Amino acid sequence: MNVLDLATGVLFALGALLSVTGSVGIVRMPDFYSRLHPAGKTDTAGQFLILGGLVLQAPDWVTGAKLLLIIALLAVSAPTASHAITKAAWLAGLRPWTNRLAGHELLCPGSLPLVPDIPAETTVTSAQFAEEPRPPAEAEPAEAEPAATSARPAEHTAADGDLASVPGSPAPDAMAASPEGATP
Amino acid sequence: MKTMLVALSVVLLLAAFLLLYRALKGPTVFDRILALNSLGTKTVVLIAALGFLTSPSNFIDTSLVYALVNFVGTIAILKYVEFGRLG
Repeated sequence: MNVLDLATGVLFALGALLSVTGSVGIVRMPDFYSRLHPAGKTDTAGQFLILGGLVLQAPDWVTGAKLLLIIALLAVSAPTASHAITKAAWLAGLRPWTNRLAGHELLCPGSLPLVPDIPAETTVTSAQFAEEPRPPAEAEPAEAEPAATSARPAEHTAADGDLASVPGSPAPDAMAASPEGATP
Repeated sequence: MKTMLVALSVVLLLAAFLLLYRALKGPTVFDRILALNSLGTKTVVLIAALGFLTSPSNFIDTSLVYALVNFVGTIAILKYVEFGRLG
């Protein structure tokens, strides 16, 4: 075993180690943007080492020149392809996986929040909900009960009582309100 | 020399199968494209390494063409995913 074979073996071992670690990283990384890191680097470095080891074993100079051409081509095209994939994923709306509690807007300002922030004016507590004046169409569905009618304004209860006193004709607003009050 | 090439090919095939798992499972389409791009690079190296077992000067051309086709194919798939057409 001469020096060239020894150098080839060392380059093969390093390249194979880089290839396997890159593949394991692509399988085990949690996110697309973190998978780019093993994919982009170990591909370029791994092919550089393995094809460089093959150049040392080339039988003639044409084969060695073609191997060097492949090395140059892959060294240019593999980072370009990784960059193109990253840019396409960013333009398609994919955002990095971050910890929202750690203040990810400070770390990456363009990122969208993982859970959309609810504005403070739309959050309704139960006390505000009880005090809000509601439209009569969305009144409580149990308005036929006497407890609900007693909470109404005075002239409304009077009109309701006049119409309810007529036999065989129910209250018109009770007719209008009852299907809409039942649907929600 | 021959045993080194065979061992290198086996290791590269193992790495290629790991990449194939990610290409089949990947949550987004970009994970699949990334895994296929890495798989193409692995294939270029694997063709060159296996060609040295039999006749080196014949398989180098295949490897060279595969490197070109891999890059152009990746860009074409990305363009199709991003714009919905290739024109």
